[in-house]
Amino acid sequence: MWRESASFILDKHQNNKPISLTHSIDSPPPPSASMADENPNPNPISAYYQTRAAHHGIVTSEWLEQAQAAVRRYPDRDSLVSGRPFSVIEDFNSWRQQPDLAEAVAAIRALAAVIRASEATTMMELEIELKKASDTLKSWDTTSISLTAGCDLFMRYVTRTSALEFEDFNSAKSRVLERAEKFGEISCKARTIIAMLSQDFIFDGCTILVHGFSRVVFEILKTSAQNKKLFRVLCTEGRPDKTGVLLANELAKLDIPVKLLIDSAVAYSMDEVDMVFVGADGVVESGGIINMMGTYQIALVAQSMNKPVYVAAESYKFARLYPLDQKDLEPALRPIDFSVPVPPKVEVERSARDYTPPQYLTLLFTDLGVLTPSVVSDELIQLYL
Amino acid sequence: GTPESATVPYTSSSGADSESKTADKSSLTRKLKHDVIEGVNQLIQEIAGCHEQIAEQAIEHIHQNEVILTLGSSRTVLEFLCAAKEKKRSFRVFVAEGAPRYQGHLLAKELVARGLQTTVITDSAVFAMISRVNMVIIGAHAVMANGGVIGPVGVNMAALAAQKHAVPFVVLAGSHKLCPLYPHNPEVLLNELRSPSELLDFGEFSDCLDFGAGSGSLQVVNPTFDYVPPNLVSLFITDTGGHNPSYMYRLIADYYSADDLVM
Repeated sequence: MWRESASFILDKHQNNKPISLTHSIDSPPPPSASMADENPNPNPISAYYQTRAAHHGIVTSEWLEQAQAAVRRYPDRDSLVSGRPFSVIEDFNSWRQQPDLAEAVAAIRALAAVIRASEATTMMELEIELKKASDTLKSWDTTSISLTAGCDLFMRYVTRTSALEFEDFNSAKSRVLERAEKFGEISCKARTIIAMLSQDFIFDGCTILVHGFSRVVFEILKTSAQNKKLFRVLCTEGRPDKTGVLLANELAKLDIPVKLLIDSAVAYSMDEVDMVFVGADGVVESGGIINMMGTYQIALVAQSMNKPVYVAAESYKFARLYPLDQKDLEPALRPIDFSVPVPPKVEVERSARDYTPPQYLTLLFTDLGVLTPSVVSDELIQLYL
Repeated sequence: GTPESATVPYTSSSGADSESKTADKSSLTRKLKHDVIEGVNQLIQEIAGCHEQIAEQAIEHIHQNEVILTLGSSRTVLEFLCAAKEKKRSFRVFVAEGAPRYQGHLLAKELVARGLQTTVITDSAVFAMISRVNMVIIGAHAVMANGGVIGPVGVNMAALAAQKHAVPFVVLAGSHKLCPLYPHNPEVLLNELRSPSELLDFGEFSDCLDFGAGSGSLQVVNPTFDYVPPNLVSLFITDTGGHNPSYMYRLIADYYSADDLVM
């Protein structure tokens, strides 16, 4: 039900009309329609960003009506999912709805649940089941990097255990389950560790520029406020997700002085900024990051004005990718709403994220410790070995 | 070598274990002591031998008829330059005096005693002379985990001048100088603010320095160290060889166990 927020469904119908005034017509065709059985999310719009938008969306009664109408329109949604009593996608979605839970952690919990519910009698069977579940999750949303990386790391962490040499299958399975839950716990605690590590870097009287609504960065700022540090935050507006306003709301509740900027005002305000804090959707092998559109721009401006750029990312976001330029990423598109109608001939750049190369980043705060971008590839090798 | 014995877990030699294991305990304690002493001796040897190992690499970096700039006085730099001189390379050295302690004067005297052509310049003349210099070589007080350098006050200025004129900035540091901390406030962290008497004569300025007098107050800041960010350093020469600043974290990981780091 939450996979496609109702307003997006209505917009897709509008797209099929000959003249669309709010969105560009040339939306790419739904990927792999033949995989409709395994991929119950054929919407070309990146599901990852939909989820984030849904978490942040403001629920009105009108929206609720649309949501209910949408559910009625697709009554066979549940039967598309496999007829097995336990479906990893369902479990994943139920975890994912919690706004505080990261997507990769939800996937890890779902995979741990797969092990628990598994009826396999041999290790090989369990591994195959796990692999299939992991592949299903990954193909559900191919644009989410932390989801893919989280699933991969989970598989490696869980299967790379000496428990596989146990004679009794049940004890081996419980050992694997133990490791799976431990991995889930580590991933959950990652944010607290990162917040602790970054406390030294926030000093009294500093001004922090934040882009996007990263829950890790929010945790860092919250912890600093709890430690009675005096600092000020500048939030970029974060068009079109409105992340700036949401973050400003949350920070105002914590009594942290906040100032909102439009995205174009970043260079203008950069000289009063002491440091830039961003989260990451994924950390790539070069040490660069993939994050919300606008991060690359801010990093460029910060570097030219000698301001440090700090990235807060959990270790399960480390992915085995090496983008050489901006177009090397798998496209993650999302609709952009200009308040005036856009004529159909005009193209709109709808990409939701960009790649920031490592030379513009100063330090990364992860649950593995504080790292410089050049350390990332070393850590990746150790994680994936 | 890695002092692995220093990280032997401290299990059996502490606390009141069962008395039946007393004999085992004392032999384990002896073994632990032995391992720790061995580790410490290894460390002492490394520290004592680092100057020689760094100086061995001098011949690869200093070429004929070059002009080297250094600041302050460092034993590592002295031995480095002398090793190149012994291999019959002829080159000139500019020594920035390193106010307010003027240790550059001492270094200049040593260099002249070993037969090197030396010129003493003031710290303020570094930018003026940098275009005539082929390489800047300094010793480090500490090397941070991100590849930044803590050195005698004035090296940041030399590093910035070197960057402006594309002059290689080489830092000599024994591996015992590696520090696992990240400099989050480098101007203050690990810095030492010394007495103002090194800069100003108390006799002449005592009335200005007296805060209670109400005639205005004179502040004197006399830091001992400077922080050079990693992007200004071209090369680190350690006893294990020459390295990029972005590689220093690896050496630190070799010497420090992850458990011992602040967490």
